Amino acid sequence: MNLIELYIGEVTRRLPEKNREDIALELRSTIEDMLPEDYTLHDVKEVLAKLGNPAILASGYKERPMHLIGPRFYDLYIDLLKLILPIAVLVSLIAVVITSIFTADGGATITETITAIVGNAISASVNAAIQVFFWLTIVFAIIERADHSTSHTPLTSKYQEWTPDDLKETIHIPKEKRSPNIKLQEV
Amino acid sequence: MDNSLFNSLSTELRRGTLTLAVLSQLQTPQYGYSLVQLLESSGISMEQSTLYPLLRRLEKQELVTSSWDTTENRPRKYYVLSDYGTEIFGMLKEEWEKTSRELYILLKGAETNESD
Repeated sequence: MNLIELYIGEVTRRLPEKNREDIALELRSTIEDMLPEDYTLHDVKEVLAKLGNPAILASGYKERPMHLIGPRFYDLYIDLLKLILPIAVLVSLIAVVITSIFTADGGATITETITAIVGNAISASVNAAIQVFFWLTIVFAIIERADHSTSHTPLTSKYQEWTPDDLKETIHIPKEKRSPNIKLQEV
Repeated sequence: MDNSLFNSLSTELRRGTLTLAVLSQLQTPQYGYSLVQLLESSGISMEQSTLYPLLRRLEKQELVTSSWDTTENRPRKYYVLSDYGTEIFGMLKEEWEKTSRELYILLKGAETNESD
């Protein structure tokens, strides 16, 4: 198959169905415009090199973002992750301890029981962390793609753009409490 | 000197002006490659992988309209400014002139400060 068709195929297979035909037609006529009258394989290669990597060309045509979670939602995503992750791990740990107590095998030694609980606790908390990370990431990736507003400014945790009033909501930690080890010398 | 940093900064500097450059050349209908040649003849080099998607985007934003010309030996897609596009182009042009005047004064000022 000839290189030009292969190149066009490489670009269009990355594009949404409805645009493919039109872009393919335009691309073909552009490539022919760039080629001299009686062109050789060498000429074709030169022209395709000028157009560059088909993946990059295709990404220019695409309207969807090329990142999973962009700057608009990243802060919110990280904040939620930090909030939910410890809670989920804690809840799963409590669940493991409670079920272990109620299903404890009378014949097992204390060491055996403790080892079992620790093992279960580790696997349950890793599991919970992975689940939270996975689902939160999926949800944000979908939001990123569903959000059609033209603004790119990051959102605050209230899902609104920042105003000076948000400063009132930040948790203020007094300086003395923040660093108890470092005492400023009184003058 | 770090050349890659300079390159990325200068690309960034030029990126915003590309739309204006393209709009300015679409007062008469142009097809993809004729536009490339027009821009190149004025010394503006633009990646073709940037230009073609840009034309589509401008069309989607209703700044330009397009039509297929199938009368010649190969079909060509022509782009031309819409009424809305002409209006926006006029505004952008004024904005650019204002910005470049301001920047000129700033840079001129920096030069005289240096020589002090």
